[in-house]
Amino acid sequence: MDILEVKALNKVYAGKVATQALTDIHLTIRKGEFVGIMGPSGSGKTTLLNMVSTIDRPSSGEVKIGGANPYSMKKRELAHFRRRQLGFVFQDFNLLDTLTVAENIVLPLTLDRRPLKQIDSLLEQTASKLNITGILNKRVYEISGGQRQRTAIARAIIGSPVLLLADEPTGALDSNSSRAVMESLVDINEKDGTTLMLVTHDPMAASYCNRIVFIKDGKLAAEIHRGDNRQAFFQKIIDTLSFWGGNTSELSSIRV
Amino acid sequence: MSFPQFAFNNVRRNARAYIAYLLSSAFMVMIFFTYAVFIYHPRIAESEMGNMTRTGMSIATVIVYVFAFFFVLYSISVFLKSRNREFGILTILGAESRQINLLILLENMLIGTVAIVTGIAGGLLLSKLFLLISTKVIDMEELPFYWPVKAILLTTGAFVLLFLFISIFTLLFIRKSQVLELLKGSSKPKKEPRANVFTAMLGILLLTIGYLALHAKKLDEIGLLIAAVSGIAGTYFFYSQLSVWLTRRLQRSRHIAWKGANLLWTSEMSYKLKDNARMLFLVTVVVALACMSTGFVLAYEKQIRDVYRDDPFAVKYSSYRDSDPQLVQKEINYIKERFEQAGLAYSFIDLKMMSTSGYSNTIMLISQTDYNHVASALHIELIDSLAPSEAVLVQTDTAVQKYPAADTMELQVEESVRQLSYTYRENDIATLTYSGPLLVIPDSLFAQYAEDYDGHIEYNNVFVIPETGKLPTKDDPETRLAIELTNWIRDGQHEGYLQARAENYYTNKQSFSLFSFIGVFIAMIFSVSSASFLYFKLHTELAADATMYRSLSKIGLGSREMNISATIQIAMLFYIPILVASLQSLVVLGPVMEVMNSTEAVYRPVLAASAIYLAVQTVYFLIVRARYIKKVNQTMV
Repeated sequence: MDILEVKALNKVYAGKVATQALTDIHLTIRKGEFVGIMGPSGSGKTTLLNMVSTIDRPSSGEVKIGGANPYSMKKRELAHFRRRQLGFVFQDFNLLDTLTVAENIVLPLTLDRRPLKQIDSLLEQTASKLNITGILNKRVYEISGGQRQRTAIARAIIGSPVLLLADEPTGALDSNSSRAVMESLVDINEKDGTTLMLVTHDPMAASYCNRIVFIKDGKLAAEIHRGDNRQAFFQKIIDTLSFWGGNTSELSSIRV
Repeated sequence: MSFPQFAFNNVRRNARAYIAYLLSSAFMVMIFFTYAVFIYHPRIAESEMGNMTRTGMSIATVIVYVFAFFFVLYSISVFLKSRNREFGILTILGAESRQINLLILLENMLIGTVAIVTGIAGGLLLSKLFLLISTKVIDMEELPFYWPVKAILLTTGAFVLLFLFISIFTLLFIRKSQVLELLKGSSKPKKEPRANVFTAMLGILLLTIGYLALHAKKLDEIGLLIAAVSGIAGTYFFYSQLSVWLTRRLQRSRHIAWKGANLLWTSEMSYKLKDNARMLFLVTVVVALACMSTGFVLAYEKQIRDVYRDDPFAVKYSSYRDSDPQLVQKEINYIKERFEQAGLAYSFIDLKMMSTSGYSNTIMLISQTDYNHVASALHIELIDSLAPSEAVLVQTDTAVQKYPAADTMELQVEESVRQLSYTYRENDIATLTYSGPLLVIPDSLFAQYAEDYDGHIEYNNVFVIPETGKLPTKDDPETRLAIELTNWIRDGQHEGYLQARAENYYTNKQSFSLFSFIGVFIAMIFSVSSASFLYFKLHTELAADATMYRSLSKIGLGSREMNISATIQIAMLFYIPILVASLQSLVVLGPVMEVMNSTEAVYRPVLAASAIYLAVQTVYFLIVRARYIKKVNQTMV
């Protein structure tokens, strides 16, 4: 079953100098997949993520999440859709300083007016899954970056979304925290069967995906699949990046 | 480019950022100045005011100044915080802290100068407007516009000092911070507001002490002072500790907090309360003062109105046994003549009364015939016939001490003691006596007393005019005649004593209206300035709040939930001070009015006064809320 269907997506930013950010993007993500989106700065990967996460409107083309078209929804329906169907993880966490870790995690459920018992049991499950049970009563500024990101992941998955979207989740973390965060994501993907879409710069983070889609200058450039070996996949990512990231015509113009 | 030029350009090119700060400062100057124009108005300065009114007005000036001080201090610290990045960049570029201090000082003095000039200019217009309104609203002689040199000097001096002091004061804030902190600006997390249980309890204790001091025993000056000090201190702790503690409790109660948007606003609220505690406290004290004085004014006005309404006699002329009957008759004729010339139809009643002591009060005796004369003129039920030992006791319906419908009494006039059975009535004829009841006795008995004890007799002459049902105004024929007759009886030697209800009412109202006008004016000032204070604060926090709501909208916060959360928070900031203040006014004004021997129920005027503030505040609230929500909605995805 396809969780995400993107068809012939175009995005033009109007202005004095109109910018074609995305051109004819087709992308399908099946249930239970863990897909990475990679590309150099300005390639349009965040734009794509914004389209998928219903934050920005496409200029043309179609986006369907779980069979529904979020762009035909009213504002209020859209808010409910985001709350119930989508999960978000951001580079800068977007946690509220005024709340404790537990309160931050349950916020989407309280907005949905779920019964307290249900909230409590979900909180307990999610926290133990992400190994943050011990810090639930701490305040956000009292915990480390990795813990913050895992809190944000807990908040994103507590409502059992059909699609979890992560925008550079390791961008502000050191390598140990990054690994812990990526392992949590893989865990969620494998154990719960949650579909994941990850946008990242970081080849190490990307190597945890099943499949990686490369974007360059707003167009789909390449797609690679992971075999059994993460190390080999990592090397493949590096190769693809250096191939697509560099200026290929310059390279090929070297004649011996 | 020299350094002062840099400072000047900084302000000029950043006009948009400085304008809110400038406007709020200018606003405060304007208010202070308008008030100063009033105080130093030559007509007010020479008017007959009690020491209390004068003291009240100087206290009000000090309050306005203190309020202005906090307002400007607050505005500037908020404003400087938002510019931390700029100072960080200057520091990195190698500016000495001395230079940055100089920059802030120059900027502040520049803004201060502009604020003082525009404030005074605006104040000139505003005070002209208020002088105009004052004559319309209260029935007062017109207060002419004058050239307020004294007020200008006072305002300029006071605010130059204020800006200078605050500029130096704020430098202390800046100096502490590290470059990195400056560059990061306000992005670092705020400390969790903590409320100490003991200080919260201390707040409750202080409020209780204040309450007990007011209600425990008969209120005296010391009690009032204790109540004022502990009440004000308690209010401060209420905002800085108790309210934070309460919202923290609320947030911790998951049954309430973990539902809908509650989690959002309860957590934000404790920060907002703590941040604004001082301001909320100030607003509460000021609104409470305003509520109390307005309530006091309204209660007092109702009282003098009731005294007028209950008195059916337009003019009372009394003379005594040793007065010269011929002169008395001449004076009565003169009054009659004046009535006729004024074109007022009147009925004249000549009656005798006797003072005595009996029952528990002094009682005035009147004969049945005289009573019936008055009663028929006033269209009040007559007394048909009285047996020799029967009497009728008459009181006004506002009298405190009530009597049974029928009883017996012992009437004593000097040595003579007599048993009488009486029936009881309530009507306005009893206003013939200054206090105590009126006893109607049979004509024969009155005649006998009058023969035996003629020294007790009072000769009264009353003038009754048809009721119009309206309260006297300056140009009523009755008021004019009343004032004229009162002046006539006061000047020179006269045989009798004259009292005119319209003069009494008008004079009381006159001396009070000035006081009440100033009171209402101050209250209005504070209402406006506290609202703009809140607006300024919300405006500076808007950017941070908008970012928060934007990121929350990505995870599914709908604009409806944002609306609820924001509305609750703004409403609390706007309405809590008014609710607390009106509660305090009710608690305080009750015992105070009791001491002042006012029987007037106090809750109604206080509620009326707070209802006015509530209405005004609601207008501001709706405007501020609409703007805030519109701005936030724009940033939400």
